Amino acid sequence: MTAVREGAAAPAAGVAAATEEELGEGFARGDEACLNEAYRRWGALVHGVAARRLADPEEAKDVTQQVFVGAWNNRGSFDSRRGSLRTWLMGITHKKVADAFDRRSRHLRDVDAATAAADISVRPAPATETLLDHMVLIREMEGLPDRQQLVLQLAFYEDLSQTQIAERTGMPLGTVKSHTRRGLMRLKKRLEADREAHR
Amino acid sequence: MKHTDEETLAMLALGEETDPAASLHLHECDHCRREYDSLRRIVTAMRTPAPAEHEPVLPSEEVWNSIAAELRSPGPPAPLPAHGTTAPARRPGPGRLRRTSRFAVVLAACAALLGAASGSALTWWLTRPDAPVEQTVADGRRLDSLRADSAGYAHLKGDTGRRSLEITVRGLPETAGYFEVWLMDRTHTKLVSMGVLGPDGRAVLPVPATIDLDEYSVVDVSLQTYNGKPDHSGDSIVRGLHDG
Repeated sequence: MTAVREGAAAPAAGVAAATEEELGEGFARGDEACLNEAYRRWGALVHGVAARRLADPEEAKDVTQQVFVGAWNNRGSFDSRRGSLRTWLMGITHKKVADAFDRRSRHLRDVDAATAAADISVRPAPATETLLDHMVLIREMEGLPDRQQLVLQLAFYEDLSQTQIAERTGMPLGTVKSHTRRGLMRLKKRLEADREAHR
Repeated sequence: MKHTDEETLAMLALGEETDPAASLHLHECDHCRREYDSLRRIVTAMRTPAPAEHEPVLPSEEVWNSIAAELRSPGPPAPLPAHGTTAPARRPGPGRLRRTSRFAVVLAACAALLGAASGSALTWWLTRPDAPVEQTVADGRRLDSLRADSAGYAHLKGDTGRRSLEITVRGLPETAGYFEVWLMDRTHTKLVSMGVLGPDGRAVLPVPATIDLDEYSVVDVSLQTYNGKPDHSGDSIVRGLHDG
């Protein structure tokens, strides 16, 4: 929850030159120019990630739209202390991609049921193991403590090294590594449990 | 043989530089190798894949237009849960104009009349050609009626130092409860209680000098019951922009 502030706003006209921090603040405050600017800066990134994950240009566009609309409608929950606007948007992107896979696999199950009944062998290609892992892991990430979540987001989505994450977050390197380890170990457990369940 | 510790394995999986002896150990120890493979699998699944060749740099203009269009839609956008898992970004169909919940976030769903769940929607609503002409009367700016029989007016007066909010609501419903006045932001997620209406449906309420009225741009009057809960009831009578 941001405190009520007066006059901290960067003028809308200067939004193109705004730092990421100012942009994040403006976005959280509901400044539409900041939404536009966020799209200008990271629309391609969001779309690129979605396109690569989903391998479907139309679905990727749809996810891109969902990410920005979702982020805007949910901007009250953006907290700059927990990471930058860009990282937050990437987190949403990965969630939306996972949701898209959910829908896809539900659809596949429907198709399966239908084809089984009709004895037709045509069906879309199933999601690969990596994509299924991604789906499970995205959900598990959400349940991690804030700082574990943040360091993993920065490592996964921003491709930052542990040293860079320490610089970005101001946490000591040892702390970053320890959060990374704990987070990764929990994800590993989750994945193992999931595989066990599907054996 | 001493096994590689978890942190080193984690760093190896992330491709961080570690003691060369650690990676050597992986070749000799099945146990550590398996651990490493499991962690590596996570990193592979989660790392954003590198851009493919010939990938379009920007999603077309069309995507931005769709975003703008969706946000400008007068339909209530579905508020995402804080850790949104499955809430679709698609807006629900009409017919969900009002709903009662004491959770402020859900108030966003009540915003249809104002179209105020986003700044864009608000701007759109105020500027669309068929929007009713903004009505300012002696009582202040007309608020949107969320009950057919009620009409509210809000007016901010005074300078930054000593501001007050004058509010008048006519046609209040009968109640054993009371009417509370709120300032909220355009997403209806941040709320500040300003006070209560008098029995004549009027109130002049002091506005703190520290509040950002550009952010808290919406006035809302709710019907509250004496249930001991200080939250907004979700049952709004009138709501709209103040003129501050």
